Amino acid sequence: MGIPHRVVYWNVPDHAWMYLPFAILCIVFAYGVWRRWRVWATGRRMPLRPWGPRLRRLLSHAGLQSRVVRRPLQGYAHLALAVAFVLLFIGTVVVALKADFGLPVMQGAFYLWFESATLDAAGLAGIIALAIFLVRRYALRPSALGRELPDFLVPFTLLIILITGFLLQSLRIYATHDPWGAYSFVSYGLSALYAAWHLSTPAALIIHRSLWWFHLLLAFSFLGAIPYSKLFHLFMAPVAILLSDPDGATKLEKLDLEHSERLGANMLTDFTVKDLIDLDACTECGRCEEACPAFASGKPLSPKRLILDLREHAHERPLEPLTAAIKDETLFACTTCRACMEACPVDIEHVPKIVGMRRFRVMEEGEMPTGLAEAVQGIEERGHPFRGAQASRTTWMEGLPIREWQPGEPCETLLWVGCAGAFDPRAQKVARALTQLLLAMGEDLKVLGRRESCTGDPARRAGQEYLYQMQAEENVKTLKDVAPRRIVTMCPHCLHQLRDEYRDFGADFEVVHHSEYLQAALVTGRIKAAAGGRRITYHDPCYLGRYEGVFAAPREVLKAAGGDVVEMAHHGPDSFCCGAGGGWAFREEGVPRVNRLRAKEAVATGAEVVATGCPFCLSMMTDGVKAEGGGEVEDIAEILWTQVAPEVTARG
Amino acid sequence: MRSAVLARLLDLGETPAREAMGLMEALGGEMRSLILASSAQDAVAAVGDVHLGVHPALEDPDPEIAYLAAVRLIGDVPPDLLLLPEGPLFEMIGARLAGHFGMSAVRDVDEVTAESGAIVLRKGAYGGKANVRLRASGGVVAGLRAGAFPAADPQPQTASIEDLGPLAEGGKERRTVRDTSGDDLGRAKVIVSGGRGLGSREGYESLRPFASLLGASLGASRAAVDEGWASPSQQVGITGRKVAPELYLAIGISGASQHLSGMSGSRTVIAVNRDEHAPIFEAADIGLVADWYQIWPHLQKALEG
Amino acid sequence: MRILCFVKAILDPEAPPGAIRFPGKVESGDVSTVLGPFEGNALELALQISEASAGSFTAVAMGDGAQDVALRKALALGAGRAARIDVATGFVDPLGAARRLEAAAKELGGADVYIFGRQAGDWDMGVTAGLFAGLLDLPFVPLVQQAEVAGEGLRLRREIPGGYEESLRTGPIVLSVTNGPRTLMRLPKVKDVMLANRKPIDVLKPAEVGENLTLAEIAQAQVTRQSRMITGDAASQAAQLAAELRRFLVTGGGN
Ligand SMILES: Cc1cc2nc3c(=O)[nH]c(=O)nc-3n(C[C@H](O)[C@H](O)[C@H](O)COP(=O)(O)OP(=O)(O)OC[C@H]3O[C@@H](n4cnc5c(N)ncnc54)[C@H](O)[C@@H]3O)c2cc1C
Ligand code: SF4
Ligand code: SF4
Repeated sequence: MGIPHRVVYWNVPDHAWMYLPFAILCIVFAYGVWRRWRVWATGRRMPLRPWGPRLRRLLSHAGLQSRVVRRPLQGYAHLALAVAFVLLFIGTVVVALKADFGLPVMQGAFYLWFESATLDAAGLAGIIALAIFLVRRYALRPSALGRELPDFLVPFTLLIILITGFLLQSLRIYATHDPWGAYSFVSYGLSALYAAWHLSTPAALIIHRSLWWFHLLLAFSFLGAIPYSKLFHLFMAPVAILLSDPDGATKLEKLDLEHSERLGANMLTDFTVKDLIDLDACTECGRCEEACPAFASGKPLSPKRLILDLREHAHERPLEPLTAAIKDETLFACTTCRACMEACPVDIEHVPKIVGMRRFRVMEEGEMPTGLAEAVQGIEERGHPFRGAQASRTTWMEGLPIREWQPGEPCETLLWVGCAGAFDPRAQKVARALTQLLLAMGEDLKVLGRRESCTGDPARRAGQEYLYQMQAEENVKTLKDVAPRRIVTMCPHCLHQLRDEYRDFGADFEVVHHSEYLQAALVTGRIKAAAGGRRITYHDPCYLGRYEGVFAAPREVLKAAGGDVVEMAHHGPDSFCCGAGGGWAFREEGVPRVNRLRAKEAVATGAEVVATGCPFCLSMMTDGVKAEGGGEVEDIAEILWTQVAPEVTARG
Repeated sequence: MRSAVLARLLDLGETPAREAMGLMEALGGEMRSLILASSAQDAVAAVGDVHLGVHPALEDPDPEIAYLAAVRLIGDVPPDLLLLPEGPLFEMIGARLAGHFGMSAVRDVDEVTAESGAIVLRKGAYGGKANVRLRASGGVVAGLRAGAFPAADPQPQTASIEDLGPLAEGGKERRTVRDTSGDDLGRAKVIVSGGRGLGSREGYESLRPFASLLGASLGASRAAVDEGWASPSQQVGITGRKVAPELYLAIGISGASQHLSGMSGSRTVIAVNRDEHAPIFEAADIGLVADWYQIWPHLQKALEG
Repeated sequence: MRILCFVKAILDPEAPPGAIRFPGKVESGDVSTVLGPFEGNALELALQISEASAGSFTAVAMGDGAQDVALRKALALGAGRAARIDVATGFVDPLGAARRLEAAAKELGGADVYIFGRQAGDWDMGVTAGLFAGLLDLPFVPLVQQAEVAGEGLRLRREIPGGYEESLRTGPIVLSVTNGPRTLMRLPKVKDVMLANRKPIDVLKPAEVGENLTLAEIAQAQVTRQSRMITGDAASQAAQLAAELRRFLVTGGGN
């Protein structure tokens, strides 16, 4: 028997002919890649350093497919298929090494355990995974998955390739009485069947030879089709992951208003290389669509469709303006909640593209939906977006022992109230509760009052970058004058601006959300809460959770306030938007409203109180929960103050 | 002091014209009634010396015709105080006549006094948030706010009739079109008005079934007109219709002073607004702090049932 | 067509009650100064006419530096030139104002169309356009809602009670503009806003004119009713309101 091995290209004497289709494959493949490369190359270059976080992300998201497996069944099936693919690819390369270069690699233990046993296992896993996919797509029919011809052809072809592979192997084992056949356990089992059916050797040889060509041509066709179909994600997904922003693209790009030839994106060339690669990296898995609140509430936006429409545009009308592909109703439906980006297994960045296109529509063409336009005009004219609001910046604090900062004064803790806290009657109550908490902690507290102006976040998300930058510059200047030790804010949008996006404007302040500050104070014992005991569910604001990564602090505060915290179906990074972001807080939605969908989830927990940490969520959830017949909606500061106030009075 | 009232013959029977005459009587001095008519009439009910200027095009005059006619009728020596009821005639020619004769012009006047030889006029400013008194050292054309002055009860008397002769041409291809949407606001007993708070055209349209349940007419704030949900003739306020129905419902209207100025004469005001601090509640008899869309389905059921 | 459009920036007309106070004078507090809404309508019309007649327009304001808000808006929307007649803020006699505008118009070379907003929301006078037309002895069309260039002339639609009037006017003319679907001010493009911020604003010396009207007194106006609030959840609020409305419909209002 000698060293375990097998003959390569057994029974196919004229196998050298395969280099003809192979050459064709190479040309077709190269052309396909070039066709797409042409498009990417027109994109704007973007900075790539530092590489470290990018590579870590690549390992986790592409290598371990950490996001794919969040859906265990199809996730692990996908992982298995991907691993099988890589293994089978290596196996094929090994064959080539032996056949074309005469390297002695197809023998011994490696042959038995890898080339035979492992690859059989991989093939089997692949077949099971494909079966799962087909059953899910065609029997369970989730709406996020397409059912066009290519959606069927891809898994079906793969399935045939794997099955014919097993048939070939088993026929060889059967006809050659391969002494090591049992290591290829699947094929070996099949060959046992042939014995049972008394398959004649000549017949086996003929079947084997024709099947061999069929398998080869099918596999080549499949490979050749890759750059022309969504299979391209095999190659492009890792690239998209590698090029994705290490901070998850939470910060929007600071637009160079002076030197940009065009403000915002209206041609493919206005997108970055990463944006364009994204279009080819999309796997059409539909997870973004499932996560999208705009889609769920029936608005004409699906993040998946958006990417696919842009892809089609890039391939078919690359020189036409993007407005031909994406309508305003779609563009302005997005709440910028980032759920799609969090869900996307290949790190496609939807929001920067959407805002980029909004920038063009708003700044170059003066188009903006009503409601939003007025909010933005409000920021420009009055420094806040609340049209028709009746308060001044200091109305909310009447009667509280707190002062506006005066020039020249040092400032220990600055409470950044935000426009909602100042002008929205409901949020004013939160500002009061928070102030009382901070004062009870003995905090040396100041507010900016008249000097505070909108951070510009609604304008930026709406695409009005110019107004945003003016607001940002003015606010950074004010804050540098004040030079506070720290800034506490009750608005996640302000938090995101002051802590992160303002860095591009020279800001470098210690900024915390009130949930973080209160939690720290509870841990160190600066405040004590009386035992509560209400059942509370917590709604993660998108800009606090997905944007700023604050998930635990607010829950800790609620627990400290004696709350029995129960979770909604969507929570943490998977939280579902309240419907206020991206300027929607100032627009009338029509039905169904996003907040109703979210409120349904909240009410379903049976909680007495729905807690949140954002004034916009508060207002949206209040409306929604009221309509769904639920209980109270309160900010964590209010809930905590209810439990702290008695302690404060008790101490005198 | 020499004062005069300028009015159209057609409008003489109406209260605003009689109020202008009432004010003239109260001020005393030399009084003239200058009446624009499309045909001569023997007896005219007016105050002081009555002059009738006649021109066939004055039936429904173009602004240019009305102006030229008035200039001729006033003659070379204008009065110190020329009074017109606030309304379309003042809008067309009041200020322009003032400019022509080198007088000043004040509109929406609700009080006129003569103090040591000077005329002092009171009017609203800042959208009705303030009241001002203006002292005139020269001649003034004043537009008078309806309902602010006691009406005169003039008896018919013979007027001096002046044929105004040929007047230069006004606008060409002139046509007027009726827009019925705001038609009945002036006479309506019940008005339902919607504002920006309704959020969308469909939102504003939700007031239509409500109004028809109440037999009400539909009004709007300027914001709702600007959004294109309502027509300009439905605008209620300082620069829209001034209305005084028995019942005025303001839905999704914040109650900017400019809006309040147009409806504060309403007998009962009901406001629905999401913002408890909205100033509309200061001007309302009954207030609901509520989202209209939460209220309306229940309300519709209750009213239909 | 050569167009002059007169604009004015005013204290935010939507400022909440009490934010601007009138203790014998105007105390503006921290209320911001914004382009008057009817002036926005006027600018829109000026822009439409200048676009349709392949011309340009000049924007003119009167007041102190605070007026630049209005002029910058005008420049952003496409005004070719902006000029400010430099006078202190405060009440101005409308006849005196019209005379100064007349002098400025002459200095700027005159125009075929003079466009005003219907009424500025500070003193709510609403007479300047008419006075100006009277001084120049030009035809005056008030409350224009729509204008189309038709040959040498303008086809104008003006609001009249219960509808509108349309007519064709040729020759120099003065218009006052009101709000309507066709005069809603468009959003300026950001590029143009950026450019506008760099353009010069000409400062004109005011003509010497006599004063006729003077401000003798200013006081806060009061409009308050005792309101009764209907509370409860939406269903019960609606039920109470329905009862109230039914009672009203039955009694015809006498409460
Ligand atoms: C010279 C001048 C003249 C003017 N003339 C007039 C005039 O004649 N008439 C006029 O109306 N305006 C006039 N204005 C404009 C005026 O200043 C205001 O801009 C306008 O009245 C605001 O309209 P609004 O109340 O509909 O909108 P907003 O002030 O925006 O108010 C909307 C209100 O709706 C509420 N709301 C929101 N959603 C809901 C909901 N779901 N349910 C219930 N409530 C809700 C909000 O709380 C808010 O109070 C004039 C202005 C100027 C300067
Ligand atoms: S950011 Fe949110 S709303 Fe926008 S496309 Fe993504 S999931 Fe949808
Ligand atoms: S964008 Fe991402 S999540 Fe959406 S379909 Fe494509 S791959 Fe899936």
